[in-house]
Amino acid sequence: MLFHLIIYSHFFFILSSYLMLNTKIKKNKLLLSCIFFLTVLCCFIETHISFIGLFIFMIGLLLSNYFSDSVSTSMILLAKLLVSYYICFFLMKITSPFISFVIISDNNGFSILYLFTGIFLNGFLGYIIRPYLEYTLHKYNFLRKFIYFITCIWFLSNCYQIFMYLYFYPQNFQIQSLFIVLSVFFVFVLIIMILIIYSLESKKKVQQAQQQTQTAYEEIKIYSHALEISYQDLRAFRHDYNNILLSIQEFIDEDNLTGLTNYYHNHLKTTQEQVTTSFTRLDDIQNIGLSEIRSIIMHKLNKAQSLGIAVSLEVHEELLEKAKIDTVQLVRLIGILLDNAIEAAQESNTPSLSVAAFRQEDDVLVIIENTYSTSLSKEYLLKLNNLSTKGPERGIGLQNAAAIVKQENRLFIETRISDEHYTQTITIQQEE
Amino acid sequence: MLSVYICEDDPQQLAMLTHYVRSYIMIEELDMELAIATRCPHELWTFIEEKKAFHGIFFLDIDLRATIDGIALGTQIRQKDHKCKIVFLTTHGEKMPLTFKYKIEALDYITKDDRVIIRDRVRSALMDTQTFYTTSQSKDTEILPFKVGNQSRFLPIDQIIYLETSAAKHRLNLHHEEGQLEIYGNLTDIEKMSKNFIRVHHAFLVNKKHVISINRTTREVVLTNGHIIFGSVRLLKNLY
Repeated sequence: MLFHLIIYSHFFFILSSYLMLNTKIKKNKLLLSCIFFLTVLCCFIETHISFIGLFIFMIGLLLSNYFSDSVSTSMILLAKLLVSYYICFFLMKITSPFISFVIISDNNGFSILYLFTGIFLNGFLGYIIRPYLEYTLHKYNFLRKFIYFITCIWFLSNCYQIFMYLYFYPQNFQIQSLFIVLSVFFVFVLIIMILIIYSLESKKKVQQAQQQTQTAYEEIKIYSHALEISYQDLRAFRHDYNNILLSIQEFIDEDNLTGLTNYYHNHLKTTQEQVTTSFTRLDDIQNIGLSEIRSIIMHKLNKAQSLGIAVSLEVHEELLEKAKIDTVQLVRLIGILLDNAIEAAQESNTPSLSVAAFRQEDDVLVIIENTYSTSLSKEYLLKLNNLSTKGPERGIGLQNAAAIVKQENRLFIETRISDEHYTQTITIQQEE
Repeated sequence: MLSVYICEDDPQQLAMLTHYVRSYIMIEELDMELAIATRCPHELWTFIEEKKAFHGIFFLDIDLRATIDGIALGTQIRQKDHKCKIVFLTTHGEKMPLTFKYKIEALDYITKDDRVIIRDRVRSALMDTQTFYTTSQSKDTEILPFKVGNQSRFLPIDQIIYLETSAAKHRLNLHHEEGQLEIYGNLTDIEKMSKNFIRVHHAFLVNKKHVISINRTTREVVLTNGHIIFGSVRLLKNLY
């Protein structure tokens, strides 16, 4: 029994370091049981035909993880798996004299010692590497390509190994019955595996749907809040309107035309401005098709309004039903630019922020215009206004925006600075 | 002779506008004529459809109570002639300053609530149009055409300070007197467009009219917008 365990020891080693690298697995009981099943199956296969067990083990581990994890990308999973495989591989290579000694000695004590130190060592190495792995992968782009490259090499070399093994040692298949038993068992386990994977995937889908409804809910909340505010505005206006009518009636009843003229010029004329500014055309927001974009604009405009900035929105035609670019990036970009605009407008004497969106030829333009502090001169802003990363003077929070534009080849941004206004334009190329 | 075109669905306001335009052409002795004053946008469109350039100014109401509104009409006019002037007449509720300015490049918009304001704005619009056409005909400004997304745009070369290669492929950052933008293009092609463009580095093309100073030891070029760019040893000599 222990002798067998030593033969399968690399499964346990790989598993221990992989569990350390991917801590999320421990919380997922279904996945854990799936992995346990996989290990048992592969141990069985490994007893009869070596190499194939390990091969199936690795692929099964990757698949079950990939289908159960909705957050990580396949690249990161691959990287973790490969790292744990190679940790085990190199440790085995280094300690191979020791391993052969343990096997030959046939001493239970030694075997147990070997198993536990191996598991511990692998787990420990995985634990050390974990914090650095994702960071380096994120930082160095070329490493990602390298990971895929290594995966290919690993896969091909294993296939070659198995092929050679089966080609040169056909005597392994002389026992027909064993082969039949093995294949029946294999099919049986495969069915169970498929079932588990399927359930894991459906769980993942449920999670995604939940996330979507959550964001939709947030949007509705923001929108209803905006509606509430505009309704309150309307109520206040109705109240004022009634009062005004009453006072006019008073003048008319008294036949006091001069009083009415005075009243009109002193009181009513001034309210005209108020009425037009407080009723901002935020209802235009419905013309924007993509809900993400709608909600970011709504959210930021509400924020600006609560900070005492005069806000306006102009979208006079339906647009952005769908975007051919990553909407997450577009939302980020609009968010950054609106934040900049709000910040600048706050410091100005007459804070105002206008957003407009319209089609121009085959593009969609989003324009954000704000006032800025009089303490800043146009010349100073022009000097700061440098999107390129080459200059020593870098733009105000614009590097992030520039990075997004660099990634998305359908986005263009433009800044324009006049004596009163700071204008940012996003061009979204819809057709090519 | 410049033309004035008016499209306004309200007969009273149409009469008022026509009156203002006629009287200012007389009083200021402008070289203009009232080409058409109509209530129907389609009538205006059939009137101008044959013309290649409109040479004049349009006064358009936003809500025309027809199948086409003022903005759509303005867009059509702008597509045919990018030089002519357009002024919008709006009520407060329809006011869309940014759309007017950046989509149609409107000269102005007049809100219809005060007769005095309307009168003054009509006058200044007419005067601006007159000066625009007289000055733009007298001097030949060099213009750089370029593409942003699918839009074709242009800028007078005098306003361009410098161009640099962008981090994205096939794109350039164009810095002009009022800001900057990204355009499609490459420096080698643009360099040939004007004698004022000097290549000082493989990544920078400057307009020599906007160079303030050159430091030969550090190879820095200071430009009118305060930006400092670097020249290469070989190419910086072109500026001396």
